Amino acid sequence: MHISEGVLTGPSVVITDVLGFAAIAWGASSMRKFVKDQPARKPLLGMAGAFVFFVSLMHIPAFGGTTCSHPCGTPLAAILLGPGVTVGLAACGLLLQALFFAHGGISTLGANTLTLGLVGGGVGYLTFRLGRKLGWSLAVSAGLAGLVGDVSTYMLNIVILGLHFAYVAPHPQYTFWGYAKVLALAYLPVQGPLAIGEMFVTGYAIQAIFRQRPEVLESLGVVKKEGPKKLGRAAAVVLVALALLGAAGRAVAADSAPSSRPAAAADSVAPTPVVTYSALDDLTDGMAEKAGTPTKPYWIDLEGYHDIWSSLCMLAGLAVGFILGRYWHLLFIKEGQDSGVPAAARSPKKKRVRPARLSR
Amino acid sequence: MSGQLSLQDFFQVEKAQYGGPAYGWRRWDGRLKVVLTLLAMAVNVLFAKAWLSATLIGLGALGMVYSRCHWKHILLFLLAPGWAVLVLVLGMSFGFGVHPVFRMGPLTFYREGIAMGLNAGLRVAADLAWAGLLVITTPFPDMLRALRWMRVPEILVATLSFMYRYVFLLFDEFSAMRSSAKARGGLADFRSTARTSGMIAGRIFLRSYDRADRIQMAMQARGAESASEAAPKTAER
Repeated sequence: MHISEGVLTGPSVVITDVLGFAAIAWGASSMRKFVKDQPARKPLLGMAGAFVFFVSLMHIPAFGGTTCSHPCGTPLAAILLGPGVTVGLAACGLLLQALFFAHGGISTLGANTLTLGLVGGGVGYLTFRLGRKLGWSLAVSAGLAGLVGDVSTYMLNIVILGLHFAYVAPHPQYTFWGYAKVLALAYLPVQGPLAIGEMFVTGYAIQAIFRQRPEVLESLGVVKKEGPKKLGRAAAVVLVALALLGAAGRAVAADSAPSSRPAAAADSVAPTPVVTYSALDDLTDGMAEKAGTPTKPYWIDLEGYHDIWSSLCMLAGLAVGFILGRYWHLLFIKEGQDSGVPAAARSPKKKRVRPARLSR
Repeated sequence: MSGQLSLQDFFQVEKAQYGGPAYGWRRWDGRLKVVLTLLAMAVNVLFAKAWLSATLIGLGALGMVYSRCHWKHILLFLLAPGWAVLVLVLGMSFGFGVHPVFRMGPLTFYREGIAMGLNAGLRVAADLAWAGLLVITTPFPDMLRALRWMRVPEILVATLSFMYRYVFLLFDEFSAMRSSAKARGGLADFRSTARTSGMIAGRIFLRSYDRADRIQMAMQARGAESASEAAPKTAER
């Protein structure tokens, strides 16, 4: 889910970290304001942080159950505590995850805070508020907030990675849009079901809290006793106009966006005809030709050597490697087993007390 | 996605933080360790050279051996994210480059892509080796002290200490609720899993909310202005 340690390099790290730390500073100031307004709620920040951190460790089956992923948790936190506080909590959670669970990274802390905390939480919060203003139910508004917050997190991930690969990483082959398409296709199989899972989890969680303890949501300002103020007709017209404007802008961008072409040829003056490719191979071959570096013959071409059988063997190897990579540690450490701790540090074993025999 | 350590794995590492013998890096000041780790990571990603990453992996591994870390913990940090790195390396190998190396069905692996993927894999491994070295040899309160010394805002440090203290508690509660839901057939398919997970998340939030109130009252009863004053102490488990 998060951008892994070491993926971003050079200026990308510097820019995302500077922006990310600015967002964290805003988050810290929001947390201070939260505590200043309600001093008795200070421990709630820590508990909510633990909650956000914990939600991101809850596994949901994805990709047909072959793997599992986890929700972002930030849209839910933003609904409950506000977007500013969520940025600070997300930064704390990301730091712990990077250190203790090898998930995300220290150098990518800024980028992940931007995607998960600022955009995931902020967009989720705005969606929830908009849904309430439009008169939707609590569960539906929260569910949509979870979905939109999750999707927007990945959209920003795609933008950051696309810009990095197109302009910073060596050997750029596609333009930014080309990379964006490839990354979106790579994210879709796993993160699509995950976004739907996050929608359900967020919606059900808010609904469960409201049913069991509505006063908690009232005290946090999520719901009001008099109900949400609905949008006026003028505001609805403005929203529809904005949506239409966005759709029009997207259509214009699609028309004017350069087709996926190699960065090496980007400087050439002559316009290149738009060619439709049917597969990744055709795409890369075609782009290589246009760039003036036609592809060379394959060193190892499995198609000439019983392609189907070879491919099946490779896929089987990948599957076995995947399973071993995911569960290898079970070979060494079992649940409850004490490992790596000297005998002196272990807690003394409790004496087993035998129950007295019943007399006949 | 997976590919990271689980909470159960971390329990093992945490025991070793306190129970292990004080050799090598364990004796060093926490602030120095945190600064050195951050420096190694910064150098690794800013220069992005394969030889530098390989050197840092070697130094990190040497540090762990020097500190007499248990080999299982070293392996946990170095190999657990291995498959995620593999996906990264493979993804870059057939996504980038113009010089094909070999073809597998619809996918063609390129020389430049493989080089990029291996470089990225080395960078990930180097950063994880240093993160592992820091985490295995440094108790969490020492890291918090280092963060305070580095002028990280107090509210963030206090929140971190609370999070660290209570996430294990929430994990226990979650495990109990999940086992209970599983026994009742609440995790049968995707829909019921999502519904049950949502309800458990809501319930855990309510418990966190109530516990936060109790902590505040307990701290005030002991004379503290607010609970965060006692946060560093509560973090020492």
